[in-house]
Amino acid sequence: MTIAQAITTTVGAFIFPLLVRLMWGKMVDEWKAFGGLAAIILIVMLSWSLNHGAAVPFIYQSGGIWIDQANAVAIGVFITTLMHRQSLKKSLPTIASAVLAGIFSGCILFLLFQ
Amino acid sequence: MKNVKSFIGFAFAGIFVMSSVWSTFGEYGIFFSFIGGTIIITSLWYLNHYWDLIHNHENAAFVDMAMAIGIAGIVRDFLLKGTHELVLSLPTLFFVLLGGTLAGVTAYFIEKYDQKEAKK
Repeated sequence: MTIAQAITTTVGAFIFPLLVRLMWGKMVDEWKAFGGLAAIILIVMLSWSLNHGAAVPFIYQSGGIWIDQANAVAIGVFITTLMHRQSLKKSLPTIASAVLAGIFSGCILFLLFQ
Repeated sequence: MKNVKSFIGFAFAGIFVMSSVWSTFGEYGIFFSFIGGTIIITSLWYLNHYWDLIHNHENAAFVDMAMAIGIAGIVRDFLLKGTHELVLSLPTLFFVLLGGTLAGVTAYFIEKYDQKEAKK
């Protein structure tokens, strides 16, 4: 991985969570569930095109393990809410569910693709 | 029970997004990838966060379904390809997490500034 690739990867991973944090809540406030649909088309899919889908993607995959932009948004929104003095301790059970479910679905998909 | 519900929601997200559904749509070009992704993510978001199958406790830091999706992708490819590829992918993981962290911090300062301005 070159320095240039490291920079574009960081920038791509920076854009997505920032857009999510700044736009998603307002869209859902304005248009309810359809705001979520709008946010998915205008934020998730647009960022996906930028980071993964485009002919020259921002997130450079240095190895064979798929590093999704989801990793960036997961840590991004978590840290923002943490800095807003939301409790880390209370979110631990949810994090445990997320990690276990991630490992579980990874194993299931391994059975599918092996 | 709440955590069992969350587990089911997270597992749905991981399995759907990291299955081959999205890439099969993608075989017809990026436009169809776009459509496929929109269908998958909208369905999961509605289930997990709008309808709250994933239970985020009150005043707890927000855990997005993306956490399970990211981990599912890593675990899947780790089991398929092994430790060597995992080590090769660590730089990407590091810079993706770095970018996400920077974005989270930036978003906090923007939101805090906006709250201050709104109070004036």
